[in-house]
Amino acid sequence: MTDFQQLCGRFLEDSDSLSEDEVAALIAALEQAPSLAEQLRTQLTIDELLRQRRPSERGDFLAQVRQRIDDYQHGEEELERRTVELRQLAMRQLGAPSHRTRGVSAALVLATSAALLLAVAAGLYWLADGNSPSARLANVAGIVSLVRDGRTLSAERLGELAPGDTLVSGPVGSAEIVFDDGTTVRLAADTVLSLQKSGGKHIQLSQGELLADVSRQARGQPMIFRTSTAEATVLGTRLRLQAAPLATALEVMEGAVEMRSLAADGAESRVITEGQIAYASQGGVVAHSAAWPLERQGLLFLWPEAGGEGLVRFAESGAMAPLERLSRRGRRTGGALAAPLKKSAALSLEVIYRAADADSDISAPEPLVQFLDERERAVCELSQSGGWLWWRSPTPVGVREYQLAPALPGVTSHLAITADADGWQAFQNGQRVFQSADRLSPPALWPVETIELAIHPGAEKGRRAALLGVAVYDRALSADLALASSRRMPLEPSPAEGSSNTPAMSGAP
Amino acid sequence: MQRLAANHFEAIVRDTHVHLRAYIAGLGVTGHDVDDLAQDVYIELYRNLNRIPDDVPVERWLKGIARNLSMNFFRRRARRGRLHRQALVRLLASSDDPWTTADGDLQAALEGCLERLPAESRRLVDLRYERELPSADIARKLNCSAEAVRVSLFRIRARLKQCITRHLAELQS
Repeated sequence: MTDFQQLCGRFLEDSDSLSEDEVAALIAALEQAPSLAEQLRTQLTIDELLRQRRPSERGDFLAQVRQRIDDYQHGEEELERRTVELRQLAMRQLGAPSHRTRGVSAALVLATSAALLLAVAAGLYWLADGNSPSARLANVAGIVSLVRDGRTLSAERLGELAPGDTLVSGPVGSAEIVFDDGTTVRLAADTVLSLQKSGGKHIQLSQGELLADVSRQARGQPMIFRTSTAEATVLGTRLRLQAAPLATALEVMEGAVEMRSLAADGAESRVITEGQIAYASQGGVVAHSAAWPLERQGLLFLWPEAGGEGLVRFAESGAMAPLERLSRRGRRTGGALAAPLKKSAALSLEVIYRAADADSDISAPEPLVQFLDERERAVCELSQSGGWLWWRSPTPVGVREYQLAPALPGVTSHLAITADADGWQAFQNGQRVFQSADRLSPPALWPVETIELAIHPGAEKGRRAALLGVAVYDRALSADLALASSRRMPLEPSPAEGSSNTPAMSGAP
Repeated sequence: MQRLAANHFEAIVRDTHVHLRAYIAGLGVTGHDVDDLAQDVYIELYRNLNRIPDDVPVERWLKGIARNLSMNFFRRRARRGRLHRQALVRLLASSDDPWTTADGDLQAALEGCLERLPAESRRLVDLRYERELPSADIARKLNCSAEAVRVSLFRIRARLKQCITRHLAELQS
């Protein structure tokens, strides 16, 4: 047998079994003799034709194509509907008079039905020049439209932004506004945001969410964010602001912020510190520690567990939960941990993990969470492979593997999957990353009544991706709840990696 | 422009998927990735049904998309081996496609050629492709080395290729 034939044989059987040097040798051989390329191609082609003759392959492919087309149609309709809604909202917004102009007195601010005032605790000042700041658009991803002078333009090719511009991101769109002083404002999906014509960094958030990293501003000219019910004045901090019809949510990732609700007379201000999330509504201001899970109804399994007001606080859980912590409910299986789960009609799964860092070389799948049958075979599996998270699950047309979301190297991410008989969705760090109308209800399709949940925390020898938290529910979380929960992050990185005051949220895209 | 009805789409998939999947595999994509990529190609077809120029045969259009998606597939992979795999796709794509024929003819030719294989070769094909055994397991069953199994399979596939080519030529003549 020639070297070439040996390499071909192994490549056909398992292409990943060849070392880098062997693949290089194969390529060198093909380059030197084009007839060998033809031979290899023939071998691969015949191999596939023979594979297709398997009884398990016949008929499956056509059904899978039909399913994919169904998914595609469903996704397109949803995307179109939501984009139209957002554009309509943006046009209405443009037609409405501006709420306020720069320099409005505190008395006027107090007169609004609900307002939020934020001021960084540190005394920071800004350089007022009265001119509109220069801003440009960067890192546009997915569908983002720009409405300028009543015309809708694709944002992808635009650079400089002008006062009065409105940006509309679709269900999977995002973009960054970068100001000349380094301040960045990142639009999340489903967001409508306008640059006000008031001279300073004034942004109207009509819907959705933004993440701001505000450089130190000059005294007297703070950056101002407005929603329909609130106003946030910022001198320099990192924050996340979400606008809803009746409330505004603020999360402070850096610095300390004073927040005051003016909805009710005599409302007292509260200082929101780093790592807290606060909600302002007519009921006043309520602040919580940023923790997860947001929801406990239907919660079957939670790892790690920690005491205190029903919240899991990663900052208090030591090295992201010692393995023994789970032993009260589950059992140890090799390096993994397992607990029994009952069959049910729906399932939700939340996973917080840190993907392998950029220097790691992950091409073989590394399971994070597995659902095992009585023979310990994985019925469903969430794994990381090749820089992506994969979800393998049974469907009525057979087991399918879905490429869910990027596993960003070294970044801590929160993935929330919710599934019932109508389909399933996945959210990552506050964005929907996957939607399928597959009739996928993993628990209903489980072959046995009770199934084992196995998690791989990353303590096993040789593993590179780290699992930081898992929550499993026997019901489908609503899309809104799953989306919101997927924004929750550990407050601090694992002490095992060296303590740092930088919140893990900073790693969120 | 071709105005293909949606039900025409299904007919195209039915008539071309065997060859398309084999084409994708011939570019070095392996295992279930072949089917996933083929499905991606058909999604593109579905999206562009009305945009395929009249003078471009659908089969050729599908192969062009398949080639591009295969390149993208390896581009998205982990850094390990990405460049090598892209180079491999380019090299394989530059060689001739073994056949350009209808799926039905190809399958019929393959079945006919399999029947003509000697019993030992046929058994080897069954063990590898029907029972999905790796070469090492087959070797244990046949009391030989895995390398010997691989070389035998290599020769059987080469023989099948010659037989199919001859069979298709006879059909055309």
